Amino acid sequence: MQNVVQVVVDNPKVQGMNNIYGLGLGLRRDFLQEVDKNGFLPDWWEIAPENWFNIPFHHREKFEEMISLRPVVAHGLSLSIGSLEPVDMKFLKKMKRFLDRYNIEYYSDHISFSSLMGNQTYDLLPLSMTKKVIDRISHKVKIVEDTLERSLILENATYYYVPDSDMSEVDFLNELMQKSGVKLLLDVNNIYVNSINHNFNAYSFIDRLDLKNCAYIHVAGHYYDNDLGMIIDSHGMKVKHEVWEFLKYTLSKIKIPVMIERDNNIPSYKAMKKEFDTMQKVVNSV
Amino acid sequence: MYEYSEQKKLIDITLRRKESPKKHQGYRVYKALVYHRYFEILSNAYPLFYEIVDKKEFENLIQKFMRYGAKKHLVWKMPNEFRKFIKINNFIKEKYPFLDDLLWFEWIEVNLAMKHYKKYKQKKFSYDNKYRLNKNFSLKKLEYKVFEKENFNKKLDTYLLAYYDFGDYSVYYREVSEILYIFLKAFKKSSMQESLKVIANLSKEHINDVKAFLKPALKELVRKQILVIDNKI
Repeated sequence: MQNVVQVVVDNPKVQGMNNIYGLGLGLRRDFLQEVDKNGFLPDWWEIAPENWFNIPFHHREKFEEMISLRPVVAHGLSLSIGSLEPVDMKFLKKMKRFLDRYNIEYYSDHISFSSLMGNQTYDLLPLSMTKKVIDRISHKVKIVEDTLERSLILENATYYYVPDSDMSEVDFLNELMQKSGVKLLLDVNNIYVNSINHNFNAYSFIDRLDLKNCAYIHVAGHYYDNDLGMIIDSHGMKVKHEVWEFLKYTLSKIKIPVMIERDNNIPSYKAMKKEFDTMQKVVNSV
Repeated sequence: MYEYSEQKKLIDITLRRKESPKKHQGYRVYKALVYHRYFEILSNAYPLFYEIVDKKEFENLIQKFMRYGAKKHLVWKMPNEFRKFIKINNFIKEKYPFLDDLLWFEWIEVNLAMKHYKKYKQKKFSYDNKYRLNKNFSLKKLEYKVFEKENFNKKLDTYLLAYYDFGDYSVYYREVSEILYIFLKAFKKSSMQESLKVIANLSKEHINDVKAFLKPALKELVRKQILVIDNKI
């Protein structure tokens, strides 16, 4: 595996994503067996580590082959860093064993919480945007990074209501990055969805965001739910035109790796390749 | 503490199914999303049960389970927590007396498929070799014929062997005799020789007769890599 990490002597944190370039794709079990090492491969893979802690026997060989061919980012689901509980050390140690075993340098998760008092929701729940929360997350970031011996990357999440907050989202993110030192996994679909649901200008958001601290970009699909009356960040359909346009604008401000995140309703690898081609065109047009 | 009460409120709404405040549509969204997540995981893990159960009852069971709260980080393990929760609380047992057996039958397929196995070279069975049991199987005494869809309600004691097949990477089920069941149960705790003695004592047969009787079954278990040569000995 090819992890060429630049060592910065006075700051052990990785500066940027040293071996992640170009365009990525989420490697999913649903299409794993369709991927041909001699055919189309993205520049890098993103994997959901919790989904690979236990690898079905018949997938293991193929999975290990695929992740040996391209650099990998592990994008977790269960860290629950915003939860008002201590970091789950047992879980973190398991994560470290997995990342070490496959020599995965980069690990990201979400700015949200998903469990409380040990009860799992298996979803990403919103956090209050306050300085107190920034302090708490920053403290936990150190524990996570020390345990994993890796920098943590955190993703801006969608939220369908804003729990008691005294900051705007963009100020919250900027201050969190500055205080904790984490890089941001910039999900442009999430910003777009939030901007429609909460009536703000996504483009101005990007103008104000501290882009130099962004590590890589997610694009994903969403849909309008008539019953709930909101746009839902489903990750279960094609990326919408307006999100591609928004990606273009973002890339005009900063050039960092981009990838398509598809978690539900996963199509064939061939169909994913088509969407990857669309992403390629969008990126090349900037 | 205000933040704690905010997080707890959202957990109460999404998992404990408490009424969501009308002022924020967002609470309703999270309530729906979290329920949908549980529903999706459980209906996919238990397709046979989902097909036959009254959908309102299924919804109620999920809601009860959500109130109890799944504890596993890993999504694929959650259906087993659900299964144990149903079993302990005896929910809807009167209407579906075969439920424990059916949920085991469906869960074991997932569980065996998700395990990591070593590959072994197959050798012909011989009582001269030292064997141990592989991890690729599970045994259960069933009270209902849950492996035949039309006979879920049919009560009979039967012994089922579920195993992961290395030939086509699938989980198969096979009815086994009571003797083989007892032998394998004993073998889990002791050696093959001791397990053969257990059968000999139970059947009041000479151990050589037991060996001859079980040989075809043990040959098959070796072919299926359920019995593997123990290199540690």
